[in-house]
Amino acid sequence: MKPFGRLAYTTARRIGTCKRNVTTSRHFSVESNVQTNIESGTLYEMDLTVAKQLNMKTHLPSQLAKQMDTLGEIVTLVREPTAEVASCMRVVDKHLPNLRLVLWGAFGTGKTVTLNQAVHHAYKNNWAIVNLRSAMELTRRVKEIEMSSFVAGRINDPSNAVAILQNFKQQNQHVWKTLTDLLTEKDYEWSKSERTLKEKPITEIVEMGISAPFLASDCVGAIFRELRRHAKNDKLKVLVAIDDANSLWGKTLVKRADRTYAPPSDLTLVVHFRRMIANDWTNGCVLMVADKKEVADARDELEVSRHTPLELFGEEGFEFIEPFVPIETSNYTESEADTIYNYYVSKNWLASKSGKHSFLPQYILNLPIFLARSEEGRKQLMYLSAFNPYYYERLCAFN
Amino acid sequence: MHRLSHISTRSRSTLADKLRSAVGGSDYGKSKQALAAGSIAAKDENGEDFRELYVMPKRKLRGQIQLEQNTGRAEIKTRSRFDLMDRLAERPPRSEEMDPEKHKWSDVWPAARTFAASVVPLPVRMGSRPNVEKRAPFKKEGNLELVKIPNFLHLTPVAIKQHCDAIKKFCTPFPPELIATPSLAATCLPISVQYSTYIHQGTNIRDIRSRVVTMIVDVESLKLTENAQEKFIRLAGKRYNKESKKLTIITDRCHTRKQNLDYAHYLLTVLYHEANKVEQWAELKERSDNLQVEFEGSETKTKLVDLIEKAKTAGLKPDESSITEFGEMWKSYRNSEETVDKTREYGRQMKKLLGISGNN
Repeated sequence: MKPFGRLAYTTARRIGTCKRNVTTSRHFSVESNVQTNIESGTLYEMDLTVAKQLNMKTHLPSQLAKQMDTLGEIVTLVREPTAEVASCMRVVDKHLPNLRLVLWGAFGTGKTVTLNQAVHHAYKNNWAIVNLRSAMELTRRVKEIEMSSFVAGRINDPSNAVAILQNFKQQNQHVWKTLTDLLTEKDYEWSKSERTLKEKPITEIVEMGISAPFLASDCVGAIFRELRRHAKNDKLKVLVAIDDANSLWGKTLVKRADRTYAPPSDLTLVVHFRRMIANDWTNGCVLMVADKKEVADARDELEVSRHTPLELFGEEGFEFIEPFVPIETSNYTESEADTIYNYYVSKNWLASKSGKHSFLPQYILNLPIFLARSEEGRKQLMYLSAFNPYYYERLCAFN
Repeated sequence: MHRLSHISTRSRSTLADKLRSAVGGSDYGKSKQALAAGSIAAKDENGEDFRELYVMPKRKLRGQIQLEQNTGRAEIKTRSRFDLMDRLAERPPRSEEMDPEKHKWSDVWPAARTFAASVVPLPVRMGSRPNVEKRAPFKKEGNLELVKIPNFLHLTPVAIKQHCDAIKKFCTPFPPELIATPSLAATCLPISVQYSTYIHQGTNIRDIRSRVVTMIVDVESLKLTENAQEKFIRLAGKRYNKESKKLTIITDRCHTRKQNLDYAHYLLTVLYHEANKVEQWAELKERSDNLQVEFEGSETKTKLVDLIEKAKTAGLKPDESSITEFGEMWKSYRNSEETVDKTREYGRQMKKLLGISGNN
């Protein structure tokens, strides 16, 4: 596939130019109220402004984000796990300890996409959203560290903390008004000069963290604490969506003064997120993704790690997140693959009718991309991707 | 001796004697003259003896005799061989003499022995010839190859049957209950011992591998208490198979099988008594030291009970009765290899427990 990539790309550009202005009929609808209408097997379009607010471009898998750029819209397939997550979110109640859901499944089956759909679902229902793009960033992509002044031995991570706060602010613009109405429980004394007084809006904590990176890690803890408290008091509902959540119990690349690697429990942000996962608060939902990338080693050719929760979270993490509801993401069914196929066809993303372009040799013309719109191409796409959503998308794309 | 005889010959015909007879004249050659006169008495007119001309010997020549015999003019004399009496004194080989049908072979060849061509009445041949179509392999007489290889001529079916019949009176019948229900063997005969005997071509009948003894013990039948059994399993290490609950002891450090068997029994005894001992430090054992993760008393169970309690107030319909079922599933999930199916089952039971149905 790869050597022909550029060739195929140029070819398709040529073919595509003459067909660009074909209007397509949409066989899906933009739903305003998702609460009642999560139906698996349907295509679902996210509003672009909403997608921008929810920062989908960075949170979605990069290939899907690129497709979003190209097609100018975000259309995802609502599948069984999304419906399951939505039904679990519906039972969230002020008396019920936060519900913990773990998305697990093989590579490319849509864990991250499901997570982002759930985030959007929370947005639709006016929940507060705490979304972490990847917990691995807190443990392995730590640019600068500071020793915590709040708890001895803890390691602060200002850059990630600021990023978390900024993301929080951006993603919660729809409930920002509500958040400003919520008041702090106590005086927070960040440093000698900086403090947030009691009975002030909790959004001040966020602003404080963003403006002063050296306080950001503590601000993250404080805003989480306030969110939990207000959720308990039924002021709002909170969705905590953490991608690669098993990395919170994985290995870190943060070095301490004695040059040993710090355990994840020493990282302030990891501790804050773990507290968010703990079910000592109510009226919330914690959605986690168990991802293999924490344990899989690309250089290890002999071992294949499992993608099941106990294996990925480890005993410690597993006991921490229990009791939780595991939700499996799986490969496409034939009808799901057809839905996506029809969508790509309607968008002219799959353009070629049959291999009848005289300037290319026949063996290239037999590639699925050159007969994509024919019946044979449809079948080839299914079987070449083995119904794996990631590979299906890769086969349909040029790059 | 030779030298002496030479001297004596010389003394008998000395030169002096010859000279003497030459001087005397008449005496010389008297004996020769007498010999010549004896054969043909005729003398010629000069009185000189008739000297016969030698043409051929006076006896019949070999060719003449053969010619006469072939033409029937002379009879052929048959003569017995010179070693006739020796040959008559020697017995012919038994293999030619015996009648295999009448003679009892197990009497002829009662025990293991090397091949003897004269005894075995079989026309066996052994060896390699370049062209077997022209010339058959070497016959059994004087054939060393047949002597080198082991033979089982003493183990004919008849001989074995005879042997079995002889020792039958010492045997008791195999328990018919064990034949009827093979599962009974595990409880009635908890120890099984395995060893191998090796037979091979060679000068030495011993094989170093035959000393190895494998003893398999059913640990359940030792009737250990729970603590003792755990200690037993820890002491046994990887010799204990937790699926079949059997202990396998392999001993090979002694020279003979008997010694190794004794040693295996010794090891089992020591293991048993050591497992039954309770040391002071054994009381320091914590929950995390257990061999298996238990659901009862685990943090998960307390959290789950708490969650169910709160879920009831939240308006869900949790299924409290299925917590024991969940506990069993949880225990097997935590203590065995995690599979995709097990995780699905975990999710199913958890949803059932919390009263969340997948499609509401």
